[in-house]
Amino acid sequence: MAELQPLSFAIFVLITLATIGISIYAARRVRTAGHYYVAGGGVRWVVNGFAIAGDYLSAASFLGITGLVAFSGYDGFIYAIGFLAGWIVALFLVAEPLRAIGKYTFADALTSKFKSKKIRLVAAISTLVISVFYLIPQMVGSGAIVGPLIGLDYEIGVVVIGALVILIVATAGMVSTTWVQFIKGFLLLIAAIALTIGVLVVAGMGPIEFLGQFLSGDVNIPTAGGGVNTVPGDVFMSPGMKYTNPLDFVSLAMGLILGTAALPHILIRYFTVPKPADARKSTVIAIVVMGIFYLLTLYLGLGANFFGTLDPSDANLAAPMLAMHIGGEAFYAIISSIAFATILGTVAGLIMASAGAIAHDIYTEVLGRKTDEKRALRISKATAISVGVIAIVLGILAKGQNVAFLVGLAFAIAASANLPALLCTLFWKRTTEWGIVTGIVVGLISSIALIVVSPAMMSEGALFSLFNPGIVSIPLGFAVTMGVSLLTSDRVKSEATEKTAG
Amino acid sequence: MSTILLATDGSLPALAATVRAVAEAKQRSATLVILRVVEQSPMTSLELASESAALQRPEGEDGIEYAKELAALDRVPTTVMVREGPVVGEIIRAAEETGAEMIVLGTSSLKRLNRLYLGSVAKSVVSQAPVSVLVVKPTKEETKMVKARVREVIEPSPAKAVAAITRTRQFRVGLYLFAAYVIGYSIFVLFGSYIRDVFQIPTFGLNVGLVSGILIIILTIALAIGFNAYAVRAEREE
Repeated sequence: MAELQPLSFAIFVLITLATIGISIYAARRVRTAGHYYVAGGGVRWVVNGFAIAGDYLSAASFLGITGLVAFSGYDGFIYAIGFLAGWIVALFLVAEPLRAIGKYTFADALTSKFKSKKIRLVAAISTLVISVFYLIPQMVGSGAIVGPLIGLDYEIGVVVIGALVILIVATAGMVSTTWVQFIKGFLLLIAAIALTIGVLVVAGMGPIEFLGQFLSGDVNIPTAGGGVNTVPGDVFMSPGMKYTNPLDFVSLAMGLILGTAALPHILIRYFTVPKPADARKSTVIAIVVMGIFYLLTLYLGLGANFFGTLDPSDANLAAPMLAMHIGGEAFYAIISSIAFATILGTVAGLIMASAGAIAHDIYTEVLGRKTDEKRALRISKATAISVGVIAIVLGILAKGQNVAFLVGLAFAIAASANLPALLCTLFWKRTTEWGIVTGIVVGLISSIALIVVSPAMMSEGALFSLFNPGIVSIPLGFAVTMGVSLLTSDRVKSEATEKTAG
Repeated sequence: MSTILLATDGSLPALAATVRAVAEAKQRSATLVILRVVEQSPMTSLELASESAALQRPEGEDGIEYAKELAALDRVPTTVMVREGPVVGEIIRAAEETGAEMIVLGTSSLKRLNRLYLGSVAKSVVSQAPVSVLVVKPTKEETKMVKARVREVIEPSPAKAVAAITRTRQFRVGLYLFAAYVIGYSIFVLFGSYIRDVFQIPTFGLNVGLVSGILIIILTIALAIGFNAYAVRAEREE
């Protein structure tokens, strides 16, 4: 491939320049760390709602789910359902109380109760690990899309997007990130609607008729070797194509519903609105936008399968190739550029979360370097640049993996390490400092260890038979957090009485 | 039941007196009557500001909320009285009306002109009161401690901020909805994993798996919109 296409290139440059223009405009208002991390806490809920949707509908949702549905049918759709279901946890349990106690970062919220440096340190580390796990698929997506779009090689594509994001984040922080996300969330919704309408019009069928016709016939799935795998439609449209082991299905579903409300880069979005009620309202906006979008991914994926716009060597390209088939090169360029902007925005949000963890949590709070705001701001920007560089390197190494699958792992890690700590801090009075510290550490280590010994990493003789570690590591995270809390609660109580007596 | 009368104007000595009064009321398991007397002659805002400065009154604080919060922490029952009129007279009258066994108030070592201008309420109350009067004159350390507690009460602790949300009716309704949703999702996952045959049964021109998946998405949207509408209405009523 690697051939420059002038029209695609022009549209791509236009969207990218618009994004950078917004950042530079927004950067003029950034003067303090509060502005940098959470946009001064003054974002309107409607804007934040779209920005949350923009943040969340990453390359994994647009490129990854479309590809998975196209190749695995119903098992791809389960990602769409799980990604959305996770927001119910955020809406009913997390959004409002979190806004009431948090300031800049996820660790801030956890330490509001115990003022503990240990908690802050482990929370910052888990923020970093999860964000990096989430970053890898975004970089993979960017490399996959930039290549065919403007004629660059995969590696150069990853470097280009990395450099752009670093520029955006380093100049303006959360204000520009918010606006980039807002615009992107909006564009993505429009793109998905346009593509779906295109699929139905070109196929000449109604929405239910289109889904129904898959059940009656056979479905062709191209394989990497150049052949075609034909399966009956009702098998394709039922669980079991990808997740032959039912337990794998359960583990994934669990990781997805519990992981969302524990993703650090999503949680920090709640600190950008003024009031707890605004946090709830922006969640509702986000759910509406994302719900519509995920419903449409079913049509995008099946459309790609229907028209045979599939590249077995890279499932992530199903959506742009579908656009090419339906609307020609211009439409293809627009869709690809929006996908690119999608990645740009999500990576910016992730790097913001990582920068907050290192600069605010570890440097300022744990190491106790109480420096002036200007210096703190410089350090966050330096962090943003280094995390960006790390993401570029990892993105190049992970070439060819399905992005929705990779993101599913990030969800499982977040659900195992962060969710028990967050829910216990908010709702369980007997939680102790040590309960939170050990819970995060055990959740983090166990989920990563299970991924390392899973079939995805060890092709033969995997020690752990499931692709997603959620079903083991999430209950373990909760059990350790609560168990250790109960074991250490007596000591805390006697310390407390000593304090009041003294 | 016995009662203790606390006269407060939100000044630092009065806040220190509040701490003592709550402790006394708790020890005697008495009701704490919180009295705030508003001076009869209407003051201009400049006069009010200069008085606040002279009495070292923390901004925007008339002492009632602080006393209520402190008493609530120690589970001391309270009644609030706001009176208008001459300060000393109203304190004495309130003590007689409530049958208070003790009056608690604060006083400060006013300097020079301020002393002349404000006089001493405490002195007059002591000489005219029918019962014992506890006049609290806080030391420097006590003042510091009171200031810290004021900040704590005015800026609620994280636990209180969370409790303020989780205690609301809408949050509890949300919990029930959440539980119902999780049960629904679990049933869906169970069918998708171990009872997969059911997902293949044709319905509405599709199959059960597709219909239930699409329904979950639509239900999630409807639930979010409906809950928000309910919560917004509940917040307006508060």
